[in-house]
Amino acid sequence: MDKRAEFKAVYDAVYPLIVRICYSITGELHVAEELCQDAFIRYYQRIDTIPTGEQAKFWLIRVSKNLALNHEKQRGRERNAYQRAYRQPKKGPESGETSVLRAEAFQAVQQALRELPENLRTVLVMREYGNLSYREIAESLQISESNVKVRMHRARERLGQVLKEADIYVP
Amino acid sequence: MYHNGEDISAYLDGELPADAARELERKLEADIAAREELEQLRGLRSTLHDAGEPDFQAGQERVWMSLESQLGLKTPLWRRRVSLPYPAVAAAAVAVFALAGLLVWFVGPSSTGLGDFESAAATAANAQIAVGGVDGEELLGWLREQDLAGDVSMELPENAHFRIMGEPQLMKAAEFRGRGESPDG
Repeated sequence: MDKRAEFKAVYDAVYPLIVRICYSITGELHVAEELCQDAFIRYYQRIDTIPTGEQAKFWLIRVSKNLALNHEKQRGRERNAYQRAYRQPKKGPESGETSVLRAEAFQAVQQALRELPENLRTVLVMREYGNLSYREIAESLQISESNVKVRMHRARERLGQVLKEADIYVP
Repeated sequence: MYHNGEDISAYLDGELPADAARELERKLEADIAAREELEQLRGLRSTLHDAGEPDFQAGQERVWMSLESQLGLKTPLWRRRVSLPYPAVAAAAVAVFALAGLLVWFVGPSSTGLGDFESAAATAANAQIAVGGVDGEELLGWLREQDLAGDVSMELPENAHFRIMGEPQLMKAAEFRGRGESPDG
């Protein structure tokens, strides 16, 4: 398999997962796509030194997660600087009257996910949207499987509380 | 009754070892609180999935095109796959044959002589070509000019009438035999 074909195979397999991880961290689709693009450019530049298959996936997950976290830190600094400069209080998300119920639920769940600490949110997103096993999550984040198990439970507990407080229906 | 929330969460994910899963299932039968916790986690999962998510698929193609452009991965035009419908290919083939037929009709048969030989020599590295009505000297001269052949074998017709060139000479039989022999032999 030539370099381009190998790269495309990894891209097709991993992009759906890492775009979800980036989206769960940034909350903006176009930002998530840009971060994924950056991650894949870095991967392509090192394709000869990174093992293929699972290791490529784990490497891309780590890089994209770090890129997204760095982006959020940078944005947080910019937001704080803006607020200091103009002395405007932070506004909450606006609820559009035209939004359908499903869209509202979607926004509420995404907001609830973003309220989780990053270390809990990432394992939950990897499991629920990426369908990764505990072993794969552990390898991607370079933590133990038992740690994944603990974080997963805490993430669900916290998310359940946040959704209840936001009055989102959880049976 | 005591139950471990982490185990219930792992059970939901199918990550609990088989013996631990069986033990938990026994507990779930007797422990109402544990059952409620499992149901809550199931509800949470369905809430996450039912809420939907953005259209990630459209972005996948868009990002790939951007990567192709930035990393120079675009397939050259001559290596791209082209799919054509069979009727279009058949129509094109018919058109080409029709044009070729018309061309032959208007131009007429190709000239005889070295013209045939030239076209055959241009396409074949090792060819057997029957050439009729060509002057032998002309053919040899042409081959020399083109520098086309290392070895040329010529099969002469059985009933050839050779033209005698120059004046006849008388020589001894020993001298004639010596013509074909090497100086060493």
